[in-house]
Amino acid sequence: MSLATTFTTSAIRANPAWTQLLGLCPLLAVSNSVVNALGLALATSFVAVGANVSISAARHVIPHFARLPCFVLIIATFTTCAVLLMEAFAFGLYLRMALFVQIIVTNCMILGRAEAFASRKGLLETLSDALGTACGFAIVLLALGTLRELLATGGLFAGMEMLFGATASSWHWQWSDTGQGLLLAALPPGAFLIAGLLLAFAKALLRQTQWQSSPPEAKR
Amino acid sequence: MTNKGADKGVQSILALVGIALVCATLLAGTRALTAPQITANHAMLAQNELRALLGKEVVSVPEDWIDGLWQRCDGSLIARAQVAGYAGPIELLVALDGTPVERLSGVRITRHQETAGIADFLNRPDAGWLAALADSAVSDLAARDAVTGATITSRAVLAALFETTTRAAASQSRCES
Repeated sequence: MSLATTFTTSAIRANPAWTQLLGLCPLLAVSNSVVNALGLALATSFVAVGANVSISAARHVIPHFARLPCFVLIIATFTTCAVLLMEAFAFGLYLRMALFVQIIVTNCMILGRAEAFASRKGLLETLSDALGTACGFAIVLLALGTLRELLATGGLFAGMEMLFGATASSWHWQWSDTGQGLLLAALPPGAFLIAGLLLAFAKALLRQTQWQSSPPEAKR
Repeated sequence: MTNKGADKGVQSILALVGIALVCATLLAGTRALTAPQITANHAMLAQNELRALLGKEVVSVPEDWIDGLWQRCDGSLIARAQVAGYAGPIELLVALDGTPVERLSGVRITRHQETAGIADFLNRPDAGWLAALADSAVSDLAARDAVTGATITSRAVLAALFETTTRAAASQSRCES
C-alpha cells in the first residue's frame, strides 16, 4: 500500500471517529467551539504522530510481553509534553481544556494505532498513518466545533487569539446580534445529537462513494 | 537453554530501562524549556485577577497567602476561596473591607465548570446577582436568595462567601502590603 493510500485510508475510510468510533469522549466534550476543537486537534495530532513514530522506531527494542506498558509510557510522555507546551504558549486555552488534553493518554485511538500499525510497520508508513489518523480526528472535531459554535452563539471563531496571538481576535465573526443561540448545542446532549447526525451523514456519503467505485458483482 | 533465556531477560530489562530513560530525558527537556514561560503565565493570571477585583493595578502581589488571605495595610483584605459547585470546584477571589470585616467590596469567580448557559451569571461579575453581592454588608449574606435554575451553584457561592468572611474575621490582625 502506498503512503498516500495509507494516509487516506486512516483519515477517511478508517476514520477514528465515524468508522471506528474511538476517542469520542474528548471529541464530544471539547467540540463546543472552533478554537477548542482546533486546540485539541493540534494536541492530539502532536501526540499521535510523536508517539507512533517513536514506537515504530523502537519496535525492535520493545519486548513483546511488555509492549502495552511501553506504548502507554511513550504516549504519556508525549501527552505531558503537549500539556507543558500548551501551558507555556497557549495559556488561555490551557485553562479551558487542560483536563481533556491530559486524558489524550487514554485515547484508545492512539493506543489502537500503536498496537495495530506502528509496532509492525516502518517509520514512513507509520508517519503517514499517524498523520492520516490525526487528520481524520481533526476533520470531525472541526466539523462538530463549527456547527456547535454557530448554533450555540450565532458566531464563529471566537477566542482564536488564544492560539494565534492578538491579531486573531479580529477573526471573530458574529452573525446574530444578541450572541444568544440554541443553548442545547453547547451542552453535552447537543453534542451527542449533532455528532450522531454527522456520523449518519458520513456513513451515507461513504456508502455512496463505495457503491460507485466498486464493480456491480461485488455488491450483494 | 537457560542461559539463552537469561540473556533474553537481561535484554528486555535493558530495553525497558532505555525506553524509560529516553522518555524521562524528553520530559525533563520540555519542562526546562517551558518552565519560565509557565511561571510568567501564572503570575500574569494572578495579577489580572487582582486587577479585575480591585479595579486598579496591584503593585506587589504577595508570594504567600496565609490561609488563603492577604491582609492589606489600608484595612482591606483579599481572600481566596474554593467550594464544590454543581459540576466541579468553584474558585473565588473576594475583597473585604472593615475591621472587623463588615462589607464585601468585590467578588470574582476565577474558575468554574458549571453548566454553560445556566450558570453564565458567574462570568458576569459586573451585572446582576454577582454585582449585587459585590457591594453588600456581610450581615446581609444569609438573607440573599439563590438564582432560579442554578440553586446549587449560587448556594455554593454564598456558602463560600460566608465561610470566607468567618475565616477572615477570625484571623484579621496581620498586615502585609
